Amino acid sequence: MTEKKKGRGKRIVSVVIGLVVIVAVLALLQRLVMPKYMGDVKEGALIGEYYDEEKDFDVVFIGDCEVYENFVPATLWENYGINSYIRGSAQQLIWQSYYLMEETLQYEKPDVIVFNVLSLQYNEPQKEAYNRMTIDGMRWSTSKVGCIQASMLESESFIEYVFPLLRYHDRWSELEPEDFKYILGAEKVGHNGYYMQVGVVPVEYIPEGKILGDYSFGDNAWSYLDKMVALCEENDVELVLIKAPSLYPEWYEEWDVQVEEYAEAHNLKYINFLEHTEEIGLDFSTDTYDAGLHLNLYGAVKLTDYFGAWLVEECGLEDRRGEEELSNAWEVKLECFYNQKEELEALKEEEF
Amino acid sequence: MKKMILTAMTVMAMAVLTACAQASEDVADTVVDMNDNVSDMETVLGDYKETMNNVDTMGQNAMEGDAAAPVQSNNTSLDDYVFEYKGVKISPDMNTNEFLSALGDPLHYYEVKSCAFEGMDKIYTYTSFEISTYPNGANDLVSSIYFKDDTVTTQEGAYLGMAKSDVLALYGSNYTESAGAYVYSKGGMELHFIFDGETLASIEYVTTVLDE
Repeated sequence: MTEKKKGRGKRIVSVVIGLVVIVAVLALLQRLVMPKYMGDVKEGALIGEYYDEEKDFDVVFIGDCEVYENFVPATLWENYGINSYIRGSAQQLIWQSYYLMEETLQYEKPDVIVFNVLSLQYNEPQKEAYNRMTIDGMRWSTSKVGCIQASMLESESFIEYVFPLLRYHDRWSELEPEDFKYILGAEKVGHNGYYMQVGVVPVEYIPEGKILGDYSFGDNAWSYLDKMVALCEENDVELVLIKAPSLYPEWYEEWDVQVEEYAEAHNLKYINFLEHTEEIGLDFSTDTYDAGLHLNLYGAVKLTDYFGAWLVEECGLEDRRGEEELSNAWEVKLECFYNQKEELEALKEEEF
Repeated sequence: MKKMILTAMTVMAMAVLTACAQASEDVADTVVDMNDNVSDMETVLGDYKETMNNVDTMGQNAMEGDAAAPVQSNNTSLDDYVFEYKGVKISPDMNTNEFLSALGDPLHYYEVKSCAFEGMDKIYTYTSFEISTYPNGANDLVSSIYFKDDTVTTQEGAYLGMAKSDVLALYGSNYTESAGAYVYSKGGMELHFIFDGETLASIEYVTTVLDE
């Protein structure tokens, strides 16, 4: 090889290395400025945690805060041997639920997918912040692309989802220690998607629901429920509709009737847990951490235990506690679960 | 070669950041600040904060005797649709510090934490109306005023149970229909009327700040 060719080869290698370094620096910058959801608002970290899991779940919950704060996969495992995961995020809209379902089905085929119907009330995109908390955590796939397109507000642009640096760059002047601490990876927030709360704020008063001009769910919302039904049928997965027993915001009777009629027409099971609070044993003076919006751990365990029995009875789910590998995995998860419970309860004691 | 690579890196990084800055300026007026959304509702409504400081100042002026000083913001003002109760004027986006003590103790108080945002949304229920608020840093601003019975009226004279034709005679036909409500817009707020047949069933003053 001549000296000239050697020199040219070196230059090419140098340019390639230089480009790699530039891309790496930009990627690092992007990681630095993106929200880590490790402070007071941890819910944004939940969606991304699913990818680290061994995907062999019997039940996958999909929906908004009414799933990730009210159902406890650890209880389903301990009491019924049901292996479950919650793909929940704050104000998850129904088209986001659909695309999360589609994505989940690329990885696995659970026996049952549980969808919380509260989000039927929204017929159009709401807020960028909530969009981000669902979408930024998703891995790139056609489902993510579809989710972005369905979720974007007029003021948002697709390119900012592709390169979040374009959206978050102005955080550089407000970076906090957590941005550096978690630049290479966040701490785990959920327990199979469950977000633990142990506080107690009793229900003393619930504001009456305001009169609405139109109680009908919108066409767009219905169309995504139709898509969910079709997707589950194609994949031989049972879709179960639920309404979690949150006392606020209002779940109108007119809404409930529409879901009941839809479920009947499509041969789906639907449970409105608001109608079963006594059977479940919920005590809203002790079982909620925010005066009726969400259950605390103690209420969520009661609800989950009730639902577990229902899943076994109605969906024929089998006890998998005899599976050694899965049991071992759950042993580790349960240790983590109870450690956090102890920590949070100790913190609560300190506060008092 | 090292210098060349370093220079290229610097130029590219600057180009990206400059482009970002430009893009940021372009969207700043219309896009919610994500960082602020994540960290604090105060900064979600960052542009609005300055406005409400003005409201505070003007409110202070009013309390100090300059009663004629208008309390206004870039979204709403007392020239917009305003609810008046026992001489206390309330409009969407007003700071609750301006009027809560004058209203006396509410019958009920409820506060809810958003699924994601810091701070609390608060609901003050009085006998005849309900005031909901959203957090803005240390302040709470009015998100809506909702009528609960027919003992209160709008400044223009509408009340629950009023005939639809009378409401339209008061407010005119310059409304839009949204989700079954007749919506009259003024400044940065809306006045919503919902009819049950030919009778007025719901009256609500609503901010538009939270729409996006």
